[in-house]
Amino acid sequence: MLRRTAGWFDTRLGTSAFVQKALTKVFPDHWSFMIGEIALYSFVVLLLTGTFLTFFFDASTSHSVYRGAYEPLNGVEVSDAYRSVLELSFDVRAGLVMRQIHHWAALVFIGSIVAHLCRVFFTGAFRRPREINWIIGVLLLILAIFNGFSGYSLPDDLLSGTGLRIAHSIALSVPLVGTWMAFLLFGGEFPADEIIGRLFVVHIMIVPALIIGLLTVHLAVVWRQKHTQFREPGRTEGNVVGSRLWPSYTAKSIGLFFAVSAVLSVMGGLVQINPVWLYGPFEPQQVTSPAQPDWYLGWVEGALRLVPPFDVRLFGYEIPNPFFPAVLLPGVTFTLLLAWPFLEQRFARDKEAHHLLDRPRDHPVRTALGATTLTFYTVMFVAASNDLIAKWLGASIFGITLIFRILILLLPPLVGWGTYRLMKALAASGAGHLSEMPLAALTNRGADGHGAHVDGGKGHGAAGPPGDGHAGNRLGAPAEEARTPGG
Amino acid sequence: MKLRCARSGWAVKVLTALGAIALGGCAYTSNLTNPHPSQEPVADTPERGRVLYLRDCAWCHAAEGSGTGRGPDLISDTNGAAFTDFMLSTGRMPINDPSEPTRFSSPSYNPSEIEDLVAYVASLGGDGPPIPVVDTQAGDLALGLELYQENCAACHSTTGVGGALAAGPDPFDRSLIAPALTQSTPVQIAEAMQVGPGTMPVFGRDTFSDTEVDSIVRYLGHLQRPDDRGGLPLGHVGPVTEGAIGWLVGVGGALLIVRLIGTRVGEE
Repeated sequence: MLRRTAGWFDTRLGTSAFVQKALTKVFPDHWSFMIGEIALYSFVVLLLTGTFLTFFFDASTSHSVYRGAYEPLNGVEVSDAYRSVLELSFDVRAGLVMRQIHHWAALVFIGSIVAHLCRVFFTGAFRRPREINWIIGVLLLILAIFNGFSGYSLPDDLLSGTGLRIAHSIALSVPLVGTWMAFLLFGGEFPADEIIGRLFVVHIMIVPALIIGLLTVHLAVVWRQKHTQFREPGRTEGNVVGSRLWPSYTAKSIGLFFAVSAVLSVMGGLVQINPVWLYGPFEPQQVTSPAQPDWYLGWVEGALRLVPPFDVRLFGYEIPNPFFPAVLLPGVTFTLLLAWPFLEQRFARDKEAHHLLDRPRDHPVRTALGATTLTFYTVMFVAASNDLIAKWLGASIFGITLIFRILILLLPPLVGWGTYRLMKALAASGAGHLSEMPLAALTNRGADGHGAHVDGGKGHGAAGPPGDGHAGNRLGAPAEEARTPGG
Repeated sequence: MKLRCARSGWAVKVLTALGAIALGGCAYTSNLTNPHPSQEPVADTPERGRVLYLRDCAWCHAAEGSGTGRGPDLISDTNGAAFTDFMLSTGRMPINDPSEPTRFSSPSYNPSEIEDLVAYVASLGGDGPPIPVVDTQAGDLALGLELYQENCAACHSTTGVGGALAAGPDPFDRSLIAPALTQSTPVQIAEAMQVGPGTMPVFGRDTFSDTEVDSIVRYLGHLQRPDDRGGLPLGHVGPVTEGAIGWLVGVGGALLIVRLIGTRVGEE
């Protein structure tokens, strides 16, 4: 039956040759190459749970009376958006667990994108010819963050309303066009009635469609260019060594889908997230504290809290203070991120195509720069919780903020320098793994002197421990595919 | 001990802040906040309020409650029964050292001792409000929610877990905290509204009617034991703890799984 159906399609479309080729396609084996798939499968979970939520969510700021199981708001007039989220949480069967899985999946989705980005960065997988996919990946990250925020803003509770007010102020802070832009986006004076409906269309249609489109291209480009691999005996710039798509990689990938779904479902079922009924409905004259965004905007929130109060006047126009941390900083961040492959090509004078990956130690300058950058954003991220930290430590919020202002200047270069030294020492020691490196290698000042100079990872392969750790138990020889130019 | 150098520079302030954090941590772990219960009990006579006052309070507030350099007077402004009862029943008073911030803790006196002390301090002449009578059943939950969100949530948070305050003349003042209301009794909440302890404004009789006070207190009672659906509540502080769990359990768990299924048998 299956054979007959396949034959029917093959005689009309000639599919069997393609399927044959596809099923034998080889993917290199390394656990870190599957991080991107965590994001992919979190996104699938987001689509499934999100579709369920759209059946019940009512994206309107018109008011109606909530009548349901949540006692303090029973009989109270609230916005339709807030009412429908209350109903989802208390009165719709499985509504709350779907909401919670959806929200956890969003946090994990963006988290795994960042983890995937770090893997690609620190192994140099963005180098020619993969600059295109790096750019697509960064665009996907931006879209994911934007969709996260638009979803966070939909329930029209007091916390998300406080977030929207901050977003409105950020729009206002853009020089010259800020006021017009804020009115255009929100459809009037804050809190405009239009915004929830607009964000809903953006959240469930426009951005998800863009993500699906870019994701398809992202995967197609990986397919076309073939995956990178780490240097190991038998692996060259001209081949790909690993498992075939069918059956081994398919089994792993489907297994991962079930595992990611399981983790997200367990979290959605057991851990409360965004209890909007406790936050209460949004009223423009009210505000709540502490008020933080979801983690992926924590760095912008932290920057807003850390930038000292100053005003700048340029050509007779005032540039409002929030412009610097909340518009300029993200703008510079994503521009640099998008441009990184080209910047590195220029400054490292390396325009060659690379299909074999670097280990972080093989390129200590890149690794150190990456660590510096991550530290910078992590300090801002933690500073977004300055009020909670002050409360938990019983300290003054001003003191805590001052400490973060000092840390953000001090810590990134310090971590960068430490990372550079560590990577140099690791490369010079010849240890296979950081945990195997003798401590003495760290204090050996000769590491970055003339003696043991390591460049670009060209010396690797011989440096590994005898047998390279793979001698014994390998189950069958890994499959191999030739890397022919363009195909 | 307080550093009071006129031009000590930012370095001293950093050190002070670091010290403040360390001290905060120590005080938290070593349970030094409650120095008085070891004092010998005083016999239950009509004189007990005065005896306790002179033994424990007069050091700073003076024998007639007129105050000293170490402590404020107890006979002006909102001082009176409600204020005294609030400070004693929430364990904020007495303190060992006048520079200590007053913090919520278990009370140093038993309820009848507090009653005697309150009566004695009231007799000194403060004309602040008396201890309010609260009837939570007379309150309306929905009205309480609305009034709480509008008047209280900006400092004490929508969920009543409290928060840090940014206002105040001294940036290194450690007492600038809107405390959690998770353990406050109905009477204590009503008292705080009447007298406005610390930096809190007064929400007196001209602001809220009795029904409104009852409603706010009733809603806070609800927040103390909320309809906590959805599982583990994560402290009701919002996205900060959620983000931590999202990374540790969510991303961390997924990475662990990937590590397990993405590695061939026999590889490290």
